[in-house]
Amino acid sequence: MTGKRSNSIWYVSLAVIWFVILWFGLTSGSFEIGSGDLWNILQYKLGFAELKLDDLSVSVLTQIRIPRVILAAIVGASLSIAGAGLQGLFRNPLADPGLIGVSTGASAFAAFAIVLGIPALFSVSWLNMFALNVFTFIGALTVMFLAIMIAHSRGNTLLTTLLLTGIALNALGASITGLLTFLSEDEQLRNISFWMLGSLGGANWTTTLVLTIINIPVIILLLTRGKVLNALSLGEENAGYLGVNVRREKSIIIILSSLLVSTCVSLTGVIGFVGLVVPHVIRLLKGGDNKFILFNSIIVGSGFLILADTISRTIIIPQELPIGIITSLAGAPLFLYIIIKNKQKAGV
Amino acid sequence: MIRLDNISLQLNRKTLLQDISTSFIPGEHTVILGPNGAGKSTLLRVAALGIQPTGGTISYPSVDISSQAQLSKIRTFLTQQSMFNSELTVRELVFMGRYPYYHRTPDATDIEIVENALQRFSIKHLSEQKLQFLSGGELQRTHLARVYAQLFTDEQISSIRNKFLFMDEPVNNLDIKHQEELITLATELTENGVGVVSVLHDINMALHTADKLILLKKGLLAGELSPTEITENILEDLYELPFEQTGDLIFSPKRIRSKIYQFF
Repeated sequence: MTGKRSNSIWYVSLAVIWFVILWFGLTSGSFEIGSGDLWNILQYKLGFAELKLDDLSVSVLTQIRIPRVILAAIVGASLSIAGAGLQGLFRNPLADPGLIGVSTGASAFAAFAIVLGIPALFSVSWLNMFALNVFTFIGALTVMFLAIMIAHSRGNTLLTTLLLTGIALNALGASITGLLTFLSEDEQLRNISFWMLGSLGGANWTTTLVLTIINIPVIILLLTRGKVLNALSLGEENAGYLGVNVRREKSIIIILSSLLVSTCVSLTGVIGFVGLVVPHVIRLLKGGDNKFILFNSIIVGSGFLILADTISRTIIIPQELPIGIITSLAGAPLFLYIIIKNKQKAGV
Repeated sequence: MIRLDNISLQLNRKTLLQDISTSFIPGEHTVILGPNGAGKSTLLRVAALGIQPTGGTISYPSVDISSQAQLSKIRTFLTQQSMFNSELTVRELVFMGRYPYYHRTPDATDIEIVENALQRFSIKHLSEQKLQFLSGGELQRTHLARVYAQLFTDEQISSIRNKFLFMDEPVNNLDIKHQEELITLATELTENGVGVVSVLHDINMALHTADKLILLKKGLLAGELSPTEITENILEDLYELPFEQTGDLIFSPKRIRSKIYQFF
């Protein structure tokens, strides 16, 4: 519990940075929309002013940019809080939302669907559009339940076994994806690498709404687990003495976290490093209280991903860079810095 | 009163505890004595329901023992130190002792109990310190403050009556002054109606603080007696080492003492 004053400074700066990023995200892109235009549309929608913009600007903003920014915010928040949950549960700051193999498994399913041309099998157009997402989501859930089942022993989830299972499933998923890449044609290869590197290019109101409806309640449920994660940081036995139903809580945290990752992966592909780095940085800056880490992961994670997505679609206009490249490019050096810093701290 | 009836524990076909029946009474300090590997810690954890026994029954007063939430309000456990989240602060750790009592945010009672506990174990000045920067002794006192805070239902000392405190080698890492404070704590708690059950390695400390001794050897109950009933022969049987009484209630292993004398 850090001082009240330093916490209010933290939240105020966080809010300022977050809204600057939001403004940056809404006004940047291949189509010019200025701050004035943004203000005008906001006033118009609230009924305070006449619309001064042409229809194209309005539809770019409301049909493309706003849903995309919301999608980025929810994906960033989901991956970060999932990472925070798993890092707390495994008592390992290196735990990543993809730890138990969900992302890699989902990618393997996506590659499978792409190479076999499964989306084209559906004649109904909306099914055709979402077949790949649905198929990937099923893949992610399959891997999740497989991992949990393997690590299950007499009503208890063995975390070490789950970790090892995750390593094996990750390797299996990666090799299947590799094999499929080898067998795929050029166009398919492009689609597969889309999944591997992630992109929010598929954002529209439908995907954003689907993600909102599923993920927001899951995020709220995970937020209530701060006390439990703090107790679990003393070990499973001590958590039990503190009144925690350890077996039930472990399953809840694993399922909620994996569910968040599954929905994100199936809509945007694999976006690396966010879930690993965001909670880690918060812990480094503000201490190990999991209640605080979970809540702040939402704010920092959403801001970070809006920023990364904005960079990914503006850095090489008119093309888009996969967002996974940006997050890893920013995340990996930061992570190396943390490792080196921790090494210095440990090596007295 | 906590009653253990014919408790057995098998793990991987190895018998750790066999057919143990005993009871722990509020207001009494029970100390479990025995050689390494006798199953002292295991018995402590089974009695606190941290491990389910494979045979026998355990009964607690007026709680559903299948509910961790209910149990956590009447018994608390000081484990031997192990891995933990060292980024937490001292105050955050002590607040964990109040987890069984509050849902989202601690109320005024919880805060008062935590502040009292910080004061009681002289760690108030370390409140905002991260655990990773504490010495072994300071960390042990922080954990003691946590389990102490967990005993209270409300800020009244009377609210700890009929509760139980389990301690696994609590004097580890404590210097002589804090060891004495721990003994004072055990006495103070039993006087206020708490049942204290602990595993100690120091025989003489056990004899001076315990109301009852449970002797454990190879997973079997080797005796249940009061400290005044202890003799050289009983200890010799228990530890398979010759003992001699050197004071009113002071026992020392013979061989080691003669070795020490050689140095002088």
